[in-house]
Amino acid sequence: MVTVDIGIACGMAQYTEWWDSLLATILKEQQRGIAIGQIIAIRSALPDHNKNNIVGGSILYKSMEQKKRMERTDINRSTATQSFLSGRKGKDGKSDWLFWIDDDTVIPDGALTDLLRREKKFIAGLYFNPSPPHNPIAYHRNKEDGFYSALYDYPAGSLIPVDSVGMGCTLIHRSVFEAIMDAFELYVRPNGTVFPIHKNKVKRLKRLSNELKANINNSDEILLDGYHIIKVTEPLSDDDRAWPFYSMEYGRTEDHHFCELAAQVGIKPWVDTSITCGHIKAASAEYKHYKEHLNETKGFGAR
Amino acid sequence: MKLKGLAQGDIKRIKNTFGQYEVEWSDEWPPEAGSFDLIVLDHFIQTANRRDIFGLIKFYADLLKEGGEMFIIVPSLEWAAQEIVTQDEPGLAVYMSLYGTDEEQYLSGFTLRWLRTLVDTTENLVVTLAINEPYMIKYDERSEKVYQNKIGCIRRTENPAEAIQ
Repeated sequence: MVTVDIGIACGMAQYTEWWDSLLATILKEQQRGIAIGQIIAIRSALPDHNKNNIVGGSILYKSMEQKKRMERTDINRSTATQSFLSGRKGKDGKSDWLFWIDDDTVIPDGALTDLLRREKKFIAGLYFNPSPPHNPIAYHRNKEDGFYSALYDYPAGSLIPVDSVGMGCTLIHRSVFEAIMDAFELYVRPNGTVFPIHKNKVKRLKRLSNELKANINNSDEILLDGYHIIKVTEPLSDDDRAWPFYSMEYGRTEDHHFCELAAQVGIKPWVDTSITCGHIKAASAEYKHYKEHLNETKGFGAR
Repeated sequence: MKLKGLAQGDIKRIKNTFGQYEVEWSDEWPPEAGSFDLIVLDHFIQTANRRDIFGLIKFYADLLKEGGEMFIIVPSLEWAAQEIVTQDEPGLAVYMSLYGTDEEQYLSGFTLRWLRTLVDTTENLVVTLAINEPYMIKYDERSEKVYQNKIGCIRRTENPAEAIQ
């Protein structure tokens, strides 16, 4: 039997109606023959591109450092993934899949079953930007400049590979995470942040030249002839931080970062556009808002 | 070991398009049920009457082995419709992709969503690809870019979710 852990990024206080609705959805999936392992709820926060910013909240924390760490989506997602990979405490067996939902995405009935049927290791349903142009949250990456552009004007019913997806309705097989961990090594920057780098990019010189040594000169960080060199170390043996699958690096959100890691091990996400979710902010952003915007820009007028 | 394949449509184009598969294309008729690894219906089903399409897809689905793949490719109805609405002078290729030619007239048209629904509702078939993509159509010594809808599917009689473990 297929087993799935469910990861939910949600605010601390949720109305009971929200939990009722979510649990009813999960129960229906169980009735379709899917075993649910864990439901891992994580606190989420606004994406924080500057790791020094403190995101708002009224919880009393022991320290500012704890507050910073507890309210960042990236660390929370990575920690949840660690729970998934480790399996349920005290229970045999680990789930095969991790299914991410956001607390502001309304997934359609049967979404999990449908995504599992597609036989893709990494696949997402579709949800839309709450603000115009209400673009789908699925992206292609421009090979030349590395920038992302949203999926646009796709035929209804498309089931296609893309370069990046959000985690609002996303199913990932265990082997994707394992492939990433196998292919990457972890290092720690001088500021304490841990980051992964592909093993193929790790070069070890037998000896540093005297000129290079003189320039580095025990600095933590220098820019040398157009190369940014940072002194890094391996994580300590007792560093129990979660593997950084989801990090906010270079101003990109944690979902892009994860998709880029997966791409480096040859795995791209698929998006099934027939599975459309609502995306609730003040009101729900849905496929019809995207189509209205699309028709208007094509001169067809809202239909 | 080569895959056993069945092709309906432009055989040369099929062999080019699916060159990454090592296939021995069969011309046996009638084909044996449950014996094929790969079936390609390339610009083929639109020549059938709409009321016969479901039975046609089922017929070919039954020829697949468990885990066998089928690709169904048809002209894109939504692309052709959009060209007619937005262009003052749609090219002949647009009409050809809707109606076919004098030698081979099309009796049906398919949007990607409709084609996908047809396959999704066929017993033991699971859609694994649904894409709209360009291809070149040749006529009167010319080539023009048009669009086609392509569905990939796989035959699964067991629980498809357990295929990846």
